[in-house]
Amino acid sequence: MGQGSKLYRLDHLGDNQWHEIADLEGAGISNIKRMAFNGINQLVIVDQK
Amino acid sequence: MQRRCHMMILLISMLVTSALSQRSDLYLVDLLEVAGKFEVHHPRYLSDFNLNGYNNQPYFVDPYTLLTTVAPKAEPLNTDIYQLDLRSKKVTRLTHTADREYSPSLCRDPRNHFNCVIVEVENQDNQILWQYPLDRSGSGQPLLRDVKDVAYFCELPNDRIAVYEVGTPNKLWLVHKDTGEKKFIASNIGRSLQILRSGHLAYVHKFSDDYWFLKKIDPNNFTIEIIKRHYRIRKISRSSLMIRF
Repeated sequence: MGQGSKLYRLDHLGDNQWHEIADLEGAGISNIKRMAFNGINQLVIVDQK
Repeated sequence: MQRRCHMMILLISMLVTSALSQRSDLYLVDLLEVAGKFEVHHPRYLSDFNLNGYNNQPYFVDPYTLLTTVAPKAEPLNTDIYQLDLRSKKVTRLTHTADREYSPSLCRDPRNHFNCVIVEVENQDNQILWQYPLDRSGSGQPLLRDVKDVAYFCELPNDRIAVYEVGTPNKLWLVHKDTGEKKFIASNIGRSLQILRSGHLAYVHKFSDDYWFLKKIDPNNFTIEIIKRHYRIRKISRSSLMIRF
């Protein structure tokens, strides 16, 4: 899940809480609106200005 | 009264245009799992083929091929579907129509087609589901003939399609592709409809302003379970949910 420049992951099988995994502000990303996963190891992120 | 009505229509049109024309950029990042923790590396800009334009609703056809909705800055309402090859960097325009296309995703059967929402500009802006060939060999066909006001959707494994119907409130339906049978699931849902590896459909149910629930439904027997309780996320981007369990 995205909020602002940050990505979060829900540990559904663990504590069932959202955990921050990255802050992409340094890459110029400030407003994450959508994501797509390639099923292996890459994400595409939509940053809305 | 008539003037007030015209003003209201103008205002709504301006809001819709504004919402649809917002600049959006695509970025690719590497997602790695290291010692049980996830890390994100190497962000790179993907949408340099359409600088300052609308680049949204990405969908992976395979690990290296992306479908996305694109509109140039000069024509923000003229959306079409593009394909990006992430290895060769080749960009291919798949549609070139007067209608507006959104939200592409690969068709389950046949696999050489993709589905998307189209807004029929010459038919009262009806929002319907359409199916195009990936090789651009034809103009496609309706996916669901009698379902209108579609904003978002997700094709499920059992010949059903989850449909987010625009309205006040919006509604989630499961519609059978062949029979057209509609099963009402919920109202006031989020924009993200994601299929899980189990075949369940995950969605956000906005129970109230303060409490949103992440839920999943089995499309075979319509059993609903809560994944995340007391999901208070009012300030979290409504459509940026991506789920893979």
